[in-house]
Amino acid sequence: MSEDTREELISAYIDGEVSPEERAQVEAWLAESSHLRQLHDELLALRSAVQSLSEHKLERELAPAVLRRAEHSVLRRTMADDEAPRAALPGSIVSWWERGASWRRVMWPAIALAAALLILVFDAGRRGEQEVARAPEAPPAAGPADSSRARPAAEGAAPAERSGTMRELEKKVETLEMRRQERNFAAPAEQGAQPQLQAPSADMPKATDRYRARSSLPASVPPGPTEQASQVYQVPSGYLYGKQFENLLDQKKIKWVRLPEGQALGADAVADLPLAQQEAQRQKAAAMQNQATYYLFTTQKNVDDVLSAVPNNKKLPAVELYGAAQQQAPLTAKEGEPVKITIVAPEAPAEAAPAAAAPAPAEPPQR
Amino acid sequence: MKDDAQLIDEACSGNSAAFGQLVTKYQDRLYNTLVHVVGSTDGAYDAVQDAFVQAYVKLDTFERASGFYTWLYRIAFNLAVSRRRRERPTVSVEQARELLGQEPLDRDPPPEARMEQQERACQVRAAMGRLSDEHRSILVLREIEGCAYEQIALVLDLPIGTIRSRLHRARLQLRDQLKEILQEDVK
Repeated sequence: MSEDTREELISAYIDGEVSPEERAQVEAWLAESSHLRQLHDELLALRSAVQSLSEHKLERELAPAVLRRAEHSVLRRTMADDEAPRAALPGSIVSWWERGASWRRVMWPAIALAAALLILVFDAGRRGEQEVARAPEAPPAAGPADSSRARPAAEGAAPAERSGTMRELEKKVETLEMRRQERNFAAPAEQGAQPQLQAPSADMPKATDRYRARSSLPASVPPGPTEQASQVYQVPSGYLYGKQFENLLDQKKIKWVRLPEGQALGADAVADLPLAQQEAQRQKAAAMQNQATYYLFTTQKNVDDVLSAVPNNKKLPAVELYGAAQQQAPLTAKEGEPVKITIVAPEAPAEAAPAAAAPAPAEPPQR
Repeated sequence: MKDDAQLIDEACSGNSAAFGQLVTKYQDRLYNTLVHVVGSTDGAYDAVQDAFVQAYVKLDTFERASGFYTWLYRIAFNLAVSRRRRERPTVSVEQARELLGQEPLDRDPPPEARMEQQERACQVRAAMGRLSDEHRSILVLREIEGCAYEQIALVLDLPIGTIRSRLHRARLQLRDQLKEILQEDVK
């Protein structure tokens, strides 16, 4: 047996990783050879030196950050998998139907569906409560009349392409609105009453709780980037009530999503103001209740071009709508994020007055 | 107190908090080991996070042939080695001083002994840093993690015979770097 092999056995011997026969052999060698005894002692000293190195401990809990990153990773992977052809999956992977209990593939489509239902319910509630006095909607020139969901710019797009685009837009809006609801709850308007801004109280249900009740979101939503404040423009009534603004966006081939009403005004922001200013803000907000907020999936330059085509439009300072707290939020979108704008019209058009007394046409039941 | 198998079952069923308990249970142990593999606390911190995230995402592929920590460690080890190869830190004695941990074994030595202890630890850490990745990794697994050869073989995906010979060569390399310190210890 070579010297290297003997030394190797000595090393395994001090680790207790030898057979009984090998152990007996090593112990015989140690009794006979001073060189091997010295090696044995040096290896033990070496172990002691390495084990005496200080212990390192983390100062904080990693679990929240790990779970947050992992959820994002799963979401990105699920979105990528949805687009991959089934045929590309290795044969050894069981299809997700057969998996059955694969919770990830069930959870995220459920969240997207819950978000879509939530948007529809909010929009239905807003129509029933506020828009009785509005002029009847101009007959749409083309395309669907539903304004609460993203409409692709190209009406003639293939259904598969449009659904993929819509799903992408809805997911973006869902993410943005999740973060918004975490910070900025606005109480839903009561049926038939003018919407009043209220400072949130402890017994008010939070928008996030309602949202979570309909989905299976994780317990904590990660903080997002600094939220973009809405750019506010006063426009002629027809652009708000007559859908002219949305038609203009479609003409410019700009993809847009309209947010449910009641969330563009920051009740928290008003509550942050000194008391003397809160009432003034509430009155101003009530006067400006007729408004619509959009996410425009385009560049700021294109947004500016669109607004330059709106006659008599007037840009309003964000503080007038949001209060001082939101004044700190950036007014321009980060690269890759949609531009957020709010259009307001100070009063309903005169021709809408007769319609105020008419029953609302085919609307969902009011809350 | 639930064991690892129960927590894994719950995590796979959608209870992410169960996985959070696994993170809490193993984070310090994994971090301590990776500091020695990577050679920096920042790199080890990132590697630990990355390892847990990967483990969470791939949890349904864990076949339970080994313990959860062994499987986790294998993920972490590969990440740490890749990170070290990218960063290639050279650990001098001065840099090794910065890696001194928070809890020296001898908590109440006299000041001179404490300084000697720290200086010795710096030299050992610097010597470990100068080893090759393969030698340092196997020494960390054996001497710091206390892994049996079979576990080391699972982590490194090597035969046990190779583990035995590689560990011995790693020890000889480290011994050569620390001759003076070891001679004092042996005496």
